[in-house]
Amino acid sequence: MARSQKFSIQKHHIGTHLVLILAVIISIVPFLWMILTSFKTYEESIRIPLTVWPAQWNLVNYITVWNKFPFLNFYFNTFFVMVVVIIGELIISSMAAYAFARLNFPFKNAIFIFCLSLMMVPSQIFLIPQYDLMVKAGLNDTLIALILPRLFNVFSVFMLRQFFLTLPRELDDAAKIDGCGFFGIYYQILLPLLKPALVSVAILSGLSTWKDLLWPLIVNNSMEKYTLSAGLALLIGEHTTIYPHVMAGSFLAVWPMILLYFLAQKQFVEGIAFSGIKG
Amino acid sequence: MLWDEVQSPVFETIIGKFMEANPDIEVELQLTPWNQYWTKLDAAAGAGTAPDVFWMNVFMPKYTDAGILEPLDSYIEKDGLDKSAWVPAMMELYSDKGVQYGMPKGMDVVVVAYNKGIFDKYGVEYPKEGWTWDEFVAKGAELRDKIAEKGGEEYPLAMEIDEPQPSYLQLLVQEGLKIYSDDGLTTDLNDPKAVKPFADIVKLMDDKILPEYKILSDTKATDLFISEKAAMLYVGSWKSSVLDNASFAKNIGLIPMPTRENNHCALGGISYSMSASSKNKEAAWKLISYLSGPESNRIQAEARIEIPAYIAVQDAYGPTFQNIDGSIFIEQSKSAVKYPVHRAIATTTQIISDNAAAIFSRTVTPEEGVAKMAKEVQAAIDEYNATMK
Repeated sequence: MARSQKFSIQKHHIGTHLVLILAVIISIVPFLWMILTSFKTYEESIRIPLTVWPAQWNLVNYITVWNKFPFLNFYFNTFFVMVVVIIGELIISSMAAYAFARLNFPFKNAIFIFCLSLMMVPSQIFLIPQYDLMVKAGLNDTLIALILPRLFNVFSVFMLRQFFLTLPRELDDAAKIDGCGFFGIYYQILLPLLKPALVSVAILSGLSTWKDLLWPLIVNNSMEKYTLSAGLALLIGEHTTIYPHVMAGSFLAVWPMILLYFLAQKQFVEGIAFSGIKG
Repeated sequence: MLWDEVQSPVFETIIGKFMEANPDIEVELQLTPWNQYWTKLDAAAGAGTAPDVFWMNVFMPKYTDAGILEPLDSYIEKDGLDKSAWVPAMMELYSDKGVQYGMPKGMDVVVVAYNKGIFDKYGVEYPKEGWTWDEFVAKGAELRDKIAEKGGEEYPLAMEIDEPQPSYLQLLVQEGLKIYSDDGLTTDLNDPKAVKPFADIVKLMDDKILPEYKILSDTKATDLFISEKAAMLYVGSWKSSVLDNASFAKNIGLIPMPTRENNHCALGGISYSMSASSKNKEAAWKLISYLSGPESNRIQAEARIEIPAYIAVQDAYGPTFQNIDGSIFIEQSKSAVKYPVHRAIATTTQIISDNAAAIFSRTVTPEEGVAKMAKEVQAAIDEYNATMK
């Protein structure tokens, strides 16, 4: 009896596993191809029919790309910008969300709807005005220019506000009776309950900062102020693109994210699952 | 500001030399990827923070119309530069309504490359200079038959028909067409002669000399050639170092394009332009004049990154190749015309390539496709001229 039950569970799992294995293969093949190509010569990379294995496993593409660009600057810039944006965005968005969810002030809903309407405007529209602002503030070609426009994110505010609304008001009232002010309610009572939502916001904003390409390229000029994605884009030529160099550079750019994912896998999955269900 | 990462080490050398000669001028090199270059230039020019000197291509009229580029004539006159020191088609390409807005960096030439290994394998004679289009087609047919006889897998010919410059644009020019009239008001794509290049390419596919469009749009024709899967290739000089570095490079022969009505080559290329809002115009001009001058042209030629547009140093380009004969590029450039340009070129190029793709994939006949192309190009020209009035 126990045996057949076990069997039926496995049978039930086989289908799931097949689908999952297929999905894993589909998503991992481009990564494997990237790594294989990063060891190939240029001729191998464009050869037809496709060459799967490089004839020689040498690191020459990595060394070339590493020497070509200030990769340590790229790493520092990308990490620094990402961390500051995540922290700043969490503070600003959660405070704004708290205000929209709990406080009363004139035109609250009108302001909120106005903010939401910004989400419907394609981000490219802001490109030139934002650039103008940065130039007028004398901030172009600095890391601050990469951070500042990202600190206020309407989507994060919207998402966190929805979470604040799900928390019972009784908590606020209880805290108020115990002598807590607005800020105390926000900081001591509600924020700790919002941890999963904050993790989701941190992941989303971290990823989009990491991936952002156009803005760092537009606002910054010197290569020392580029992020990884901007540096990588330099490898794509108008006529000729040396794919092994691009792939070696891509690997250098993605490994920290892969490592981070393995280290914080639990938080990643929880964060995304949480926002997936409720957001 | 420039966009080609491959060229930046050479430019560091050139700019190093420039600063040595001009210790009072400091030059900072900015590299922006091609895909974002124009967005960045638009943003920077709008805010008045464009670099003092930047690379410009055939999109130039858009920027002269916007008043972003500094006219260079007064500087040229003051220095007493002789404009005929550069290839005329290139100087002409970067002048607009008689005003010079850019100094040529170099030029792009298209020639035919052939794989002697494949010719030998099937016992076909190498093509000879001065060949005509018919001889070219006959050579392709001979290759096709002999390859089929021995059960080979190579294609007789490859052509990047997914891009105008190394393919049908050259054939259109070789029909004696200008594509855009000098006054920028009309197109001659409605000339019956404009159908022939497209019909000829479709015929090459029908005759199994050229692979089908599907193959050529999935795989770059140059990649087929480098993989020794194609015997002949229409190829741009921008691929010259790729050819020279190929494992079978010793077997690569180069030859000027076959003659149709003529064998002119439409020369493309980049120029250096100056920002009209530059705060150091004198220094910027010194840099432009050095970059487009003989020494910088020679360094770029020796690094195999560019065919000099400065005529006196063109000899430097040939010998730097280890395997291929670079002098063919120079020879082809002797019978050259400027690249067909129009103020609305970004739009019209898209129209031309979309319609060409429809013809080559046989969605429409060449006659229908070219008629539609001519109509749409004319409409785009009219629309542009109407908005500029």
